[in-house]
Amino acid sequence: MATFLFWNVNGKPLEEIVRNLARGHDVDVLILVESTIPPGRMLETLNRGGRRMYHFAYPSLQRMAIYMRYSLARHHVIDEDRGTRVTIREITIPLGIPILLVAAHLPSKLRWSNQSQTLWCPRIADRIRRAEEAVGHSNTVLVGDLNMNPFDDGLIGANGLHATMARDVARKGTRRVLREDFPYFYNPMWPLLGDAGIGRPSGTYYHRRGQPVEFFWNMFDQVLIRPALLDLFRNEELTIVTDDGSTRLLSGAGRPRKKTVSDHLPVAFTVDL
Amino acid sequence: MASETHDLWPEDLATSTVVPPVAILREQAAALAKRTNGLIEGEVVSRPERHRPSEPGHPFLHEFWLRAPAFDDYRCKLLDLRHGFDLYPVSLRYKLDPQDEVQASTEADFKRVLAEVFSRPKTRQVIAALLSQIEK
Repeated sequence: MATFLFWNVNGKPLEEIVRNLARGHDVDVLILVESTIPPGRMLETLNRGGRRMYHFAYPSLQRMAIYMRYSLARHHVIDEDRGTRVTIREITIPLGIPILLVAAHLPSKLRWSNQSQTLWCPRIADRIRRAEEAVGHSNTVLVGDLNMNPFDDGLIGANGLHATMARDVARKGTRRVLREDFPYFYNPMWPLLGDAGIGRPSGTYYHRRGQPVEFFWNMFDQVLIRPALLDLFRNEELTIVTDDGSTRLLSGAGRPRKKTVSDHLPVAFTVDL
Repeated sequence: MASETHDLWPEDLATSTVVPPVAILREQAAALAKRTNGLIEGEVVSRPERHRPSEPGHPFLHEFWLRAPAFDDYRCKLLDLRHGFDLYPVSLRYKLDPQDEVQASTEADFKRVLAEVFSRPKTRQVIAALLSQIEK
C-alpha cells in the first residue's frame, strides 16, 4: 500500500505543516509544487524524529519536489520535461508492483486560455503513453495541479488526458475515435466537486473574479488513475485535506487560507499496491 | 509422451550463514542517509562480471557512491569492492585521494576495514563539504 500527498504550497515556507501532513497521513510519496522550500531544509524537517526516512527524489522541474520513503534505488526517472512541466517516474514499491508516477504542474488559467490548455494536453498524453510503452505497463497514477477542472476539454478529450468520471467506462481500457484507440484515465475527483461531501470543501482552489461565469471552487489539483490500477484504488481513501492536525488550512469562511498558508488544498490518496 | 521432470538439486541449496559484503555496504548506505537526515545517501551499484573480463577470480564488483540528491544530485565514488564466489576475502579500493587497496579476509575484518575507510580525513572532508553546500 502506498499513500501519496500532493500540495501546491504557493511558494510559502510551509515545511512544518508539510511534515505534519506527511506524518498524519503516513505519506509514502510527497509531491510539492510551487515549492521554494530548500530540499535540505525539507528533508531535515521531514526526517526530524521520524522512524522511516524520506528521500529527496531530485526533480529538475522548477519549484517541484518529490520526497518519498522508498529508497532512491527503487525509483527511476523515465521522462522529465520542463516544457510540458511533467515528470514521469517509475517507482517499485517494496513487495508491490511497479507504478508510473506522473507529477504535473500545468500552466495557470491566469496566463493561458482554455483553448491553450486544451491544445497542450495531447502532448502530455503522448509523453505518458510513450513512458508506458518504455516501462511495459500502464500502472499509472497522474497527480498534479493541472490548472483545469475535471470537466475541461483537456481532461475529457480522447487525445487529451481522456479522464472519465465513471469506473465502468474507464474499465473498458480504451475508446476508439476515428480508427485510433485512446486509453482512459479514471478521474476520482468528480464526486468531490461541489457540495455532496457535507462539511468538505467543494474543490481544492477557490477563486472569485468579477466575471459573468464563475465557478468559485475549482478542482485544479487532481489524481487520475489508469484502469490497470482501478481495483487497487478506493475512492473513500481520496481526500481533500483541510488541516494538518494542528493548523486549519481553511479560513473561518471555509476558503483556503491563501495569505498565511496556501491558496490550494492538498490531496491525499492511497493505492493498495 | 513427456517424462516427469525431477528436481535434481540438493535439499540444502543456497543456504549460507555468511553476510555478503554487498549486504553490509547496503546497511552502511542506509546508515549514512539516516545519520545525515537524507542529505547524503549511500548508493550501492553492483556490476556483473561481463563488464570486466580482464579480472577473472573476482566475478563480483560493487561500488559505493556518496550521493547528495538535494545538491543537484551530486555523486562521488567512495570505494569499490571485488570478491569471488566465496564472498570473502574482499578487495576494497578507496577511490578518494590517496587511492589505495585494502584486503579483508572475513566479515569481521571487512567491517573493521570499512569503519577505517569511513573515518579517513578525506571521507570526512567530502561529506562535510557536501553538507555545508546543501541549502537549508
